[in-house]
Amino acid sequence: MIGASSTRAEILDALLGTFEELFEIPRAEVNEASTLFEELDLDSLDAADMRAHIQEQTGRVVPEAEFQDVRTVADVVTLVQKVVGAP
Amino acid sequence: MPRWFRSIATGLCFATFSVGTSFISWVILPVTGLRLIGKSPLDKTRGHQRVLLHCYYAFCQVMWFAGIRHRFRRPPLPAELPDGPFVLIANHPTLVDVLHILATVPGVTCLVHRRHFRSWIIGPLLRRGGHIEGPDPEAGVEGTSVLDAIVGRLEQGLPVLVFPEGTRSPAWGLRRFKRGAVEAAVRAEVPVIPLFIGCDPPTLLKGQPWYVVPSRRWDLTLEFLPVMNPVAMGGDSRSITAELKARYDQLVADAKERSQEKA
Repeated sequence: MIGASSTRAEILDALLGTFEELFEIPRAEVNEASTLFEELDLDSLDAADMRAHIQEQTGRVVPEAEFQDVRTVADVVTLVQKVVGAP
Repeated sequence: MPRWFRSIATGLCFATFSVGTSFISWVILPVTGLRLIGKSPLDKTRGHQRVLLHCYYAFCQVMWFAGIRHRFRRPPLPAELPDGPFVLIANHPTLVDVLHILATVPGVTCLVHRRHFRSWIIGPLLRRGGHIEGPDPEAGVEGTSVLDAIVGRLEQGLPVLVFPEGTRSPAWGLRRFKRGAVEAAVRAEVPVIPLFIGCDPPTLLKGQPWYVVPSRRWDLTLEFLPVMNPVAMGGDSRSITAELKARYDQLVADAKERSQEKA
C-alpha cells in the first residue's frame, strides 16, 4: 500500500511491480527515465489499467486530466507522490 | 538457390515494392478511381480496396517469382465470415505478413504508422484504402488512443486488422497481447476473427536487416481460427485476450515443432 509516508524509492518499487504484473515488463527493463508510450510500448488502455491499479494501491483518486500529461515513469512517480501527499 | 542470390533478390523485391506502390498511388488508383466519381466515401474506399487486393497479391507472387519464398496460396475465407465489419486479429511474425492478409481478406483496413501514412510514396495508397493513421507516441495518453478510431472504422462497416502485440513477434514466439483489439470488438459489438500466420523459417523480423536471409526459402501460411463473439462471451476484453493469447502460444509451439521436424 502506498501512503503519505512512502518514499520516492518505495513508490517506484511499487510501480515496477505494476509494470511486471499488468504488462509483463521485467523490472530490469524499466527505470525512471523510461518513456511509457515509446520505450515501454503502452497504449491508452494500458494507461487506464495502470491508473486504476494505482488508485487501488493508494486508495486515492488519480485525476484523469493530470494522468494524461505523464510521459515517463518519473512523471508517474511524481504524480503519485502528489496524490498521496508524500514528501 | 544460394543465400547470396536470395539477399540480392530480396533487395530487388523491396525496390519493386517502392516503385510499385508509387505507381499504384499516383497512377493506378487515380485512374481506376475515375469510375468511382460521385460515389459515397465508403463506396470509393471499397472500390479502391478491390483494386488493391489484386496489387497486394501480385506483390506476394513477385517474391515467389524472385525465388525468395514458396508460392503463396490464399486460404479459403471462413464460411462464417460476416458480411459486415469484424476485428481480424493476427500474430505478426514478419514484416511482409500484412501484405498477405491484405491480399486475402477483402476490404480489411489496419492501423498504419504515421510516417507511412503521411509518406508521398505509399500514403495516397493507404489513405484511399481506408487505413487508420497510427498514434503520435509523443502526444502521451491521448495520442495513443486509437481505440476510438478503430471503433469508428468498424461502425462505418469496414473490417479492421489489429496486431495485438503492437509490433512484430519475436522468432517462434509472441509478445504480450494488448486488449485493445478485443475491446474495440466489444464496443462496436462485432465478431473477432483470429488468424494465425506461420512463417517458416522466420524472416524479416524486427530489427533484422533485409539482406539477412534465412538458410532456405521461407513459406508463409495463413490459417483462420473459429470466429469468436466477444459480446456473447461476456465482453471482458482482458479475459478474452488472455484466452486468445493461450491459443496462439500453443499454435506457435506446434509450428515450431513442425519446423524442427522438417529441418
